[in-house]
Amino acid sequence: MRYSRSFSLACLFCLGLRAFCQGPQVNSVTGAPNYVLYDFFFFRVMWLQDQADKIKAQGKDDSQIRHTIQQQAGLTSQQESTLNAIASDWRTNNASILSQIQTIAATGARGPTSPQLQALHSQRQQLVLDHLSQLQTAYGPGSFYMLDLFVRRTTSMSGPGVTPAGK
Amino acid sequence: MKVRILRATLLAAVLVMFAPGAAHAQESDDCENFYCTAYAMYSSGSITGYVQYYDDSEDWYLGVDAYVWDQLGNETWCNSDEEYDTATAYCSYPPGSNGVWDLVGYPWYSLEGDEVGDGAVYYDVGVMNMPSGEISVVGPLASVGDVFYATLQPTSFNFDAYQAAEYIGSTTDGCYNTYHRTSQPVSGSAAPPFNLSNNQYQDTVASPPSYVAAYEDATNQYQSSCGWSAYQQMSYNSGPPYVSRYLTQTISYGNQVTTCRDACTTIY
Repeated sequence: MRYSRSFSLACLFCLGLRAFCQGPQVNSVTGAPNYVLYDFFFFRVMWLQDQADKIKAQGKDDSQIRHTIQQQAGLTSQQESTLNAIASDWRTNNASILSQIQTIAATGARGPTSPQLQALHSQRQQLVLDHLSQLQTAYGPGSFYMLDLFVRRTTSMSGPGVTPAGK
Repeated sequence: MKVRILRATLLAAVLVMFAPGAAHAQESDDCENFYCTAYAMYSSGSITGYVQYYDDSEDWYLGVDAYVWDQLGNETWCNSDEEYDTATAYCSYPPGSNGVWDLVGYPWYSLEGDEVGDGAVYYDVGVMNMPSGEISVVGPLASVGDVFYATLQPTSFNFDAYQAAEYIGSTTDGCYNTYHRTSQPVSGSAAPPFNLSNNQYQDTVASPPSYVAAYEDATNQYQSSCGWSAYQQMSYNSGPPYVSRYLTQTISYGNQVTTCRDACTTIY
């Protein structure tokens, strides 16, 4: 058991050092507003959890996928739990807003001419910013700075004025 | 692509039928005008990923088509489940071909019922199938000047590959006291000490281990462990994703058990 623990720690150590010392330089995504960037990131966090749940339901080892963000971003277990809780709460509330948008859009309303849809989209943006603020508070400036670097480094995205990462 | 075009054509036809005055359809690159993202991973022989669309101007989202392209330009169509602004794509990866693949997603949508456009968004996902290797056994405890050999397969890739070896001294309480590493890209050249002809990497302990007897367990026996770890890493265009294969030999001092383990393969 001790062997296994030591070995696992050695592997984590390798990964951490590799990330800091050996990985090639990578560009970061710039030019995207935070409500889009973190909408994508919160979605990624929850999507990975969903994939881990599916693998676990098949009786397979889900640990690598479940802890993907933790390992790649170098988070502690507590930081990982905090991130998952915040992302989960974001998803619940975001799903509610999206459901309302779909209901209204199904009547033929479109965003540019529908004050209701515009209000819901504003709520959706604010929801992300609120949860981003929760994340900043929970992590503190130093840890959040590192997480934010990770988010910008690992988000592949296109959009108006966006400089994509890693391409 | 045919499916995407077919779906877009059908959509345009439906819009023309039910939206008088909306008689034209035109293509535009939505991923330049709106936000798109993609993410993918390799697991259990398949690439799974999603393409997501963030509509900043409250338009109506319709669908995403996704493909996986390999380095030679071969494409694999991905089945996908679509929701309001997200599609999850599922691709079966052809076994036996290592590489970094692109997940390419085409979100497409209608704007005010009279325009159909699409755009592309990419995500690289690394796949490494069945690499193998071994690490030569060194003594129960390494000392300065000991030579370490690692052999890793495969070593031939069409993109940047890194070979690295490192020496880790660790105590069983998880404290790491000694570290030594060297690495360099080996793509297309035989930069020493890696020898491309026999796929062998040689490294030498350059600093003394300082971890001996650093841990006392419940039975009052001093134990420590040290190990060699060699890993192979590849990346595409010096950017993510990185595909790594770790081979680790852990040597426990105290009970004199020597094991060689092959684990910690990471693909992301």
